[in-house]
Amino acid sequence: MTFDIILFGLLMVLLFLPLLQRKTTFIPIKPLKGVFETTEKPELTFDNYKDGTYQGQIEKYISENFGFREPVIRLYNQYVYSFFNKTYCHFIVPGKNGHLFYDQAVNDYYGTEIPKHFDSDEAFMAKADQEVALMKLLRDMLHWYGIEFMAFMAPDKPSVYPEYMPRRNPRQPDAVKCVEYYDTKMTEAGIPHIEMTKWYQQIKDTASFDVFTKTDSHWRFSAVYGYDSLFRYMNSLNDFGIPKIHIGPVQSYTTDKLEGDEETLNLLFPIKGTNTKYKADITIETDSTTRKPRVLFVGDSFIWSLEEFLPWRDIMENVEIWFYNSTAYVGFEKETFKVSEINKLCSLLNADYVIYYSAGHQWWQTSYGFLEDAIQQLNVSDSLIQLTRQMNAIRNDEHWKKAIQIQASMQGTSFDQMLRQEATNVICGNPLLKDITPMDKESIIRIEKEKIENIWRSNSTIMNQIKEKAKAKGISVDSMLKLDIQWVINQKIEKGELFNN
Amino acid sequence: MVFSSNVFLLYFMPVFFLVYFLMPKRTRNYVLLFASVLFYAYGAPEFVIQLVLSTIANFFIVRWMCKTEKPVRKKLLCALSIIISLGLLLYYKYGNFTMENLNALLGLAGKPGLTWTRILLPIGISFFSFQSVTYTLDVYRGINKPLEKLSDFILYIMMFPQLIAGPIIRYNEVADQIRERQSTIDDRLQGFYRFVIGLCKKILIADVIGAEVDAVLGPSNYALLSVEQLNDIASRIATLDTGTAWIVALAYTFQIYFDFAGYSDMAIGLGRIMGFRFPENFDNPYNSASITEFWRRWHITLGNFIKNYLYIPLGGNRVKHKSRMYLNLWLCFLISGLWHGASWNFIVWGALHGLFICADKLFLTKLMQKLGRIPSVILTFLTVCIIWVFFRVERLDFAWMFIQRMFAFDFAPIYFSANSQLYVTMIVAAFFSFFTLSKFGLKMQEKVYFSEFSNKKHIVAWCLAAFAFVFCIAALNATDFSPFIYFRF
Repeated sequence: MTFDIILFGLLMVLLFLPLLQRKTTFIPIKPLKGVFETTEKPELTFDNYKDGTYQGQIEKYISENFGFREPVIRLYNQYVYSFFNKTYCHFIVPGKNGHLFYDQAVNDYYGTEIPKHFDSDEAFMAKADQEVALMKLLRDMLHWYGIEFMAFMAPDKPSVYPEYMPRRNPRQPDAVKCVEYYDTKMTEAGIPHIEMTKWYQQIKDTASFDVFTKTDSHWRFSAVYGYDSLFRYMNSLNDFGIPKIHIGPVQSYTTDKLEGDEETLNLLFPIKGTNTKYKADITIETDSTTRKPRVLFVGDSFIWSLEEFLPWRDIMENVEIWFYNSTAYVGFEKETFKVSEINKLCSLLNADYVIYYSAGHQWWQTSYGFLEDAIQQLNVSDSLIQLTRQMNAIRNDEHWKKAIQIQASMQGTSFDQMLRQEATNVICGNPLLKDITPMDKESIIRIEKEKIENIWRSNSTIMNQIKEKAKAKGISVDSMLKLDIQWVINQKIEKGELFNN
Repeated sequence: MVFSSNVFLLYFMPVFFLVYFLMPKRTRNYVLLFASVLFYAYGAPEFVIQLVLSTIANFFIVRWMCKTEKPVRKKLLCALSIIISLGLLLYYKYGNFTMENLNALLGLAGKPGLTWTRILLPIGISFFSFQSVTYTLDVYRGINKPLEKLSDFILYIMMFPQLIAGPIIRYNEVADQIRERQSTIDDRLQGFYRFVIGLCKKILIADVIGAEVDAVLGPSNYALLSVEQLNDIASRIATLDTGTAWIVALAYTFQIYFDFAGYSDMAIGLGRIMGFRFPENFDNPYNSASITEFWRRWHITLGNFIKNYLYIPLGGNRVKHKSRMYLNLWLCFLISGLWHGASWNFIVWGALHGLFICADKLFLTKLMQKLGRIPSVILTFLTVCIIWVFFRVERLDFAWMFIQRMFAFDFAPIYFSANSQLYVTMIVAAFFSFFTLSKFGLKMQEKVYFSEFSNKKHIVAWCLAAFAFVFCIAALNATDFSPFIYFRF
């Protein structure tokens, strides 16, 4: 009898444990990972009680907030993963041998994704053709502003590792696949783009690292090579002078720290054989000819590896990310806004490159509305006229024009380029040069002299020539340097390059 | 409120039992009554007052009926009480159905339909209406005396463990227990074990299978779906391969059993914790060798109700012509079908069962006996499985289309080909469904459900139950799928 009472007492304790933990958190618990919406505790009113909304909300609220929720959820997740190779993580599906895949990517591989969103393959192809036409139009429009547009198809894991794919029923073999169709059409339309999957397929057997880690549907360390290719390709479009990325030898190491999609599975135990990670020393090469671009990325979650694995501040002057064309992360500090709330035209015109990127299987989502938005923003009928008017206004303001001439000279760029930049700044509400007091001639000459001296001193060939001339004339190197600089300045004055109209 | 919800498992149940057991014995019925009203008011706020008022009215009508000497008045009062109980049921459950069919007929006659606001079905109305009827009739027939206290009667009707999905408890089965009952510690522990067994049946088997059934057939209540959603379901059914169609039919066969039997286990378990002994509602129905046997094992309390309060009053077996008996039987099953839901598919489902029951009496039982037990069980199971299609697919045209797909012999790749959880769960469900076909299985069932527990057995059972309870809460929260099928009836 006493024994039964103890068991019954323990039963009551068991029933009350979650309540106790919720109120006191007497056992500290590791939180669940991943992004999930949380329900606010509903307020009980007669109306929401009567129509049943309170009951629905409080059930959801309790479901998200009861004591010991985290270990309990991990327990069930572990059960379905271990016994049925299944997860409750949104969109992530386990394949063979511990590999994790993105559900849509798997569907696209089997040709079953397109029919979910389009009535027929023809409907998808018509939409894709229209999309490619929009890309071409946007590229032409951005070109007028001196901005490059390109597309970047991040690699799809299923096509790289089909041997680890979860088993599904494929559609007919000739079913349209998103990646292949867009790749072909963009090539035909002459839109600069990179399709990374093919390259990853080629290197997967010879690379000294896993091009996709087991437990992530995204690329991880291998993204370093992908982004290296991207920046090289960007530079090849207009010889911008983007700093070069040097990747040192790849080293593997083990860690118990979970990362990527495995973390968001919220299991009790790590997936077996997944703790090998990779790293390499990455250096960025710069010289007097290199320039860091300002880049606007529009796309999906494949971008985050850029921040994680590369010193992105050393490569780019500024970065803006429009995540699914919905949330804008501005600058390296990733200040967050809604895309709908920012000045899109300003963001577009302030970029040197606009990169539309996405994993191949996501391209059916038709750029999340970005292309239409951007074209609308840049529409000749308003933005171009606005820009032209602003440039004319600056030209007619002697004071302002002078400031721009000086600035152009100091930065080594043309007057027109500086004028367009300033006009763009004005449109964005941030004129930089309007109220600057023009410098006197002496100051301009002094600044120009300093600039030339800095460039020459960092160039060993020029310095050697100057040393030889100094030796021949029997004067010091510094005196020779000053004489030569003065000669160049005189030439510039004569040609009107320093104080021209 | 449902048993497999966080509100119930994490708040209502612990707090209720703590308060219930801390209170002196004489006040426990009041605690239970208060909790039951709260339980129902939480889930059906708009209907709780009507339920309480109709229950109070019935209590006084029945008391009046007992006191009156005149047989005619007695009959009238009995009829009034039954009209109140069944009137609510008819209005809430069959109002929409009647109006829809009436308007359809008016439409055929070229006349405009009548305007009608759809009525929401109060949860559990079919169960407590029948319980109320059993009370009235048992008292009228003199089987039992009426309850003295109004609170006891309300408790009998509204007791939360069995309020919304049964078992349908005849008044004479619990009358004494309401007045006086013993709840030993052993009862409390074994009641909890039984509750957890039910919870596992519901959450770990029925819900897992149900999610997959829904993926093909859509949500179960088609009245709430849009035309587009119905078109989607129709096109899915039309393109089903034979393998998938059979898997879905089998899956639903297991889902409905584990869902409903799970609920009954939970109700019986909760009752036992408080010292109540509710009647069993299931006795391994899929082990039946005929449809007649199936109905002796499936939803036993409903079968008993139909038998005692419908079949026997209609004349039962003691009728002059056998044809009348068959008609009575068939009518009973037709009404049983209609009780399950106000739509034509339920009527067809009941009618088919009625036909098989008649066929059993005519020739089928003898034929099955010749075949032997196991082949008969298999054939009966498959028959039940096919007839369940009419229960699940609420549109007759869809149901017929589905049955055609089951026999289309179109063996394309199966829709669920990679869903190991579905297959494993179905195998587990099949194992527990047929386990008691063996003597060993029966013995095990006896030991788990009905025997006394030693200390050693308690430790093992407690640990298993505690783990299973936590695991069910885990499953409930890791997935978001947990509606009970039988609440709609």
